[in-house]
Amino acid sequence: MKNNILNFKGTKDGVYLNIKGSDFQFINKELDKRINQYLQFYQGAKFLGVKAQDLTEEQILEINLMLKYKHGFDISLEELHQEFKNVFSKYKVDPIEKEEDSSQGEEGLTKFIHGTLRSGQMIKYDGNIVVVGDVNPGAFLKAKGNIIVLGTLRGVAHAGLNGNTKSIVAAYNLLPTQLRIGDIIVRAPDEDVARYKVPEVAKIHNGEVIIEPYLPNK
Amino acid sequence: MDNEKLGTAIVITSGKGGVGKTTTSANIGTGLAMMGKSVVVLDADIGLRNLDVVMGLENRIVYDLVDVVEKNCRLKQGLIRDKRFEKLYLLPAAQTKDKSAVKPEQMLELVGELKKEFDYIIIDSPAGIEQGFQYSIAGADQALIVTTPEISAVRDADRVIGLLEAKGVYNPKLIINRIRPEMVKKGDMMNMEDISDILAIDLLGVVPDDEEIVISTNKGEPAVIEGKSLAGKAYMNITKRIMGEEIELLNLDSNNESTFNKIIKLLFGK
Amino acid sequence: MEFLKFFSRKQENSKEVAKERLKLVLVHDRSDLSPKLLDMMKGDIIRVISEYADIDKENMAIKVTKMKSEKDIAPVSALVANIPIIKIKDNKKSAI
Repeated sequence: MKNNILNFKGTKDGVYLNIKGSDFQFINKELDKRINQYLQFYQGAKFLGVKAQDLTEEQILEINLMLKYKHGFDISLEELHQEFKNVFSKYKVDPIEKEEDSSQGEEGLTKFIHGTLRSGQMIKYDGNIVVVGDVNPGAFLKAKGNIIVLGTLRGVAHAGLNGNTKSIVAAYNLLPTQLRIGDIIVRAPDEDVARYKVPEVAKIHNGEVIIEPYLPNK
Repeated sequence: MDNEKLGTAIVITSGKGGVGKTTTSANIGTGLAMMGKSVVVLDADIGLRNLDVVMGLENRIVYDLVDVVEKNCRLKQGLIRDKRFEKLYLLPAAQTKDKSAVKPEQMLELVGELKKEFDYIIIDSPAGIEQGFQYSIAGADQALIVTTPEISAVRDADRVIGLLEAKGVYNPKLIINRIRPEMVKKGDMMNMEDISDILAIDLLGVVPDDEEIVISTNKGEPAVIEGKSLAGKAYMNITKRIMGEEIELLNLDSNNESTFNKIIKLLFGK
Repeated sequence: MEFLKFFSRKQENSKEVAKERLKLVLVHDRSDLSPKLLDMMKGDIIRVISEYADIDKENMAIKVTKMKSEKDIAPVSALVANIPIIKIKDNKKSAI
């Protein structure tokens, strides 16, 4: 047994937890096993934080969260908040939005609209939107997930409302006034371009919105 | 821009719908930009926006008038630059809101801001005399009344002139749209003297009923740009008159008058 | 130019009809008086004047127009009455 993986170190100000190694699962198990011993020993001392060179910021955050909520360590919310910020600044999204993004991994719920959406109408939904009908100019679709139109899309469609760049917009006849996916906004070119007479899918590729014909795999 | 010099805010209004307010706004705004002025055309018809399509800028809209007055975005973000003229901008109306979204005080503040940056602010007012009309005229220094040679349109124009006076917007100018010279000649359509006499306000210009307007609207390119059509010429003249030039009224007959008529005129001086 | 009249068609132009109708409508629009109120006023005026004179009720006209006032920039409404008097009555009332 490697005893030196977890090491509580007392100073005159309080106690640090030093963690060596990068096997997160193993560290977790060790922590569960040994925590009570340490707790008894350092009862009453101020906890100053976790030091771990080989772990990522996310992992350190997770350990902090466990220490606070599972083992009752006295870690202030401000400290945790700061750590959250450090971690999520890498993704350039607020922690809250990140949480919602993760739900997108499960695609979210889907709203079905039957009929034509007309100018001035707006549908906003936290999941995907499927329109069984047309979307006229001046109508607005906003979805956190994907947008599918089983008809002609002439209005404005915004998929991936929270910055999800994996979202797509697809339509049987894709002629939008404007398309938005995540934070990217594109509009139809001013001059006419050749169009495919097939359903088309718009998605982000290398930071740009591309539109490609939908060709079923044969 | 010179801080002390403020621009002029002109509201285009009519009372009656469908007389050509939006077309007039687009053409005057574009015309002023063609003359080198910095211009914002402001679509005040919340819920029924159209100035964007007439100017061919509908696919560039991200923010709108309501976003700007509610400060969801900066003023600069709401302004859409025209694709042809560098000094021409559109502030589009919101489409998914209604007229209650903007208050006269907000409009007054907004127009005040715009006047600091631009030479002209052209406000395309909605039809009617309700809320939309009230906030449209809130910041206006001048008003242009658009009417067509029909009783219903002239009557509504008269009502609007009275309302403008009540709100302290005096000396509105008249634009008569969709005049059909051949009908005027037959005596089956009121002519410009008839209308301006009845309304008792100054005539700024007359625009003939011109197929070219339909074509230019289809293309999203105001007729004043091409400038070859009678309507386009008429709008350019109106633009110049707004800028203070003295320009004679367009001879609407020049294009479709037969040689026979011209000779008669020469002979009898009529 | 007499001979040119040969070419002109109908006498009554629809434009003239339009102008007359429009003027009439505007008279009412420009006042805040409803036709009903105007009728009531007319009735009252007839009653009062009839005490002093016989009037031609058929040919009298009361209307509201806009007039430019001297001091105000905005025009003001004015009531214009044209009441033909047939005969002044004996001034009984004032004698009492």
